[in-house]
Amino acid sequence: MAPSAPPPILAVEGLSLCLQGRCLLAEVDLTLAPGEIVGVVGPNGAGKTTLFRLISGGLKPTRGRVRLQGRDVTGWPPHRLCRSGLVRTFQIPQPFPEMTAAENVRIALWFGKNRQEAEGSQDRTIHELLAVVGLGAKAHRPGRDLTLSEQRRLEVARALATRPRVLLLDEIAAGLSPKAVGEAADLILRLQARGLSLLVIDHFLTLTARVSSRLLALDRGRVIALGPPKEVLNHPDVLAAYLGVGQAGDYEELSL
Amino acid sequence: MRLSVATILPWGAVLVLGLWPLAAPGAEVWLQVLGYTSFFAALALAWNIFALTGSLSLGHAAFFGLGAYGAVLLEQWLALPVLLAVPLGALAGGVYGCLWAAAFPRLRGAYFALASLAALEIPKVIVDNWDTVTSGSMGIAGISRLPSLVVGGRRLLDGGSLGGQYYYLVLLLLGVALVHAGVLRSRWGWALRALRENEAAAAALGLNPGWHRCLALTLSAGLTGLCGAVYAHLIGQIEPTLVFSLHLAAFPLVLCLFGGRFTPWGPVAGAFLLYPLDQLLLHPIFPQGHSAVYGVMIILTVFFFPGGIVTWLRAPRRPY
Repeated sequence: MAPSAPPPILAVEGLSLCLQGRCLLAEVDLTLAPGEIVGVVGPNGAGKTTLFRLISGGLKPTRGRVRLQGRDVTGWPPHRLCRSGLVRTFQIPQPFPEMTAAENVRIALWFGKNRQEAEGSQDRTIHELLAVVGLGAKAHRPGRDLTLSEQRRLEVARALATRPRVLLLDEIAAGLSPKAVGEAADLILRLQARGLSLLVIDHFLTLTARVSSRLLALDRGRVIALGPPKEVLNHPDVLAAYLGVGQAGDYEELSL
Repeated sequence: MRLSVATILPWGAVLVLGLWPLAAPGAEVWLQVLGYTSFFAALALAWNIFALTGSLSLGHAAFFGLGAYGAVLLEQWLALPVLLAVPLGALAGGVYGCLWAAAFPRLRGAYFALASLAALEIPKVIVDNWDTVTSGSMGIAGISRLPSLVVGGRRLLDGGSLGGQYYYLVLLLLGVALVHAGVLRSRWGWALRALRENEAAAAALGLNPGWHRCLALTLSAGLTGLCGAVYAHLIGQIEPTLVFSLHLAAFPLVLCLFGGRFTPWGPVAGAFLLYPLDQLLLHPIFPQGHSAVYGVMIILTVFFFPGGIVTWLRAPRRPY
């Protein structure tokens, strides 16, 4: 990185999770600059979600450090990280099923980082956030009645309501139609425009290749490439990991 | 405050409970039954405060017994007045609740229920065997009645009379119900609801699950201990098998499930429908097996109205 670059908002140093001699994740280094979008790609079981859980507090690493704005936050529980400005969404959406979409967002507004917001402006904030993710018309539907795509967007609205600086999006585009993937990409770029730094997991590369400034490619727990999307996607190890060395098949998803 | 069925009904019920003895003097059976109904409604509400986090406790009799023994032992050994010993007994229950939260922070669902059942045995065994302090399994008899409430030379409540006891119990219910309704309405009540509906999501959004569960359990245990301390002075004698009984542990659960767990007045409705039915109708007919009604009610509830019967009062939000 050039010496004039701003200090990273999130820094991962030598992060490893090894259980009984087997490493699910080994020596991952990554920095995220303010306002940057980094995509995390890799085949099934590469360690993408493990990396997210190590960063966002679901798991404690066996080695390595996570720094948020220079502060060591390794092993902090999720609620503490959230209040420090780092929040994640879940691959499988986790709405509060009996609460309406608006109430889902209200919980995040009340208990996230920005707890002092005036009562009067809350309803407006909630509707703004739902509008940002395109759920304005569904504000009063219970979380369980939303479609998969809507629940994913509700996750994003809730995460935004906690006023994060760093947002971790886990497979936000999985299982969505091409049109919905395009909408998700637009949404991510809008979030970047709001000043957020994002780490985005994307199994099928359909989304991250469009929005990321850099990609981190993982395979079997190791970093195999890190750099601009074009370089990473043409990296021989990445091609081998996705296509299999000397094997045919499994390439139909790579319709870039 | 909006005037709706949900506001008028409870306050109307309080008025009826408070005023009917003036219109019907000498109805001893009704004073007795409705007094105990109020008591068990308060116990159910106290239990429900922790159930709002989504965990079912099968061991709340531990707090009940600690409240009863705590208050009585303080009176016996330190000669504390009843009005001071009762809240201290409640505190004993609350402290043990806090200990639970510290001892099994990660248990949920059936695992928590089993742990709570086991944790009920600990104070029971200690009280049962520490003969020199607690009189062991003999129990303690001759406990004073609730004191009379005298304000400005006028005796407002006679703790020794049936009528006085009745009003004490209605006041206990009113107090616990206001706390319970306040919890449900508060921002903290929403935190408990979020934990119940999806704990992983709640934690990711900034809620500390351990802390809120601990607070809820401590409050719930303290109020249960308060009921236990009052109970000792109602009955006049206690023994370990009575106040640490499984019956007392399961009873609030039955009333809450039947009435509706996540509603402000569901547990009260459960108590006022089931307990008088049991005592006035079934007890004279089946003196041996009248308690079976509670088992039958649980089965019917789970099959036909899993949200509790107060959900009938509300327009359904969605078709089932």
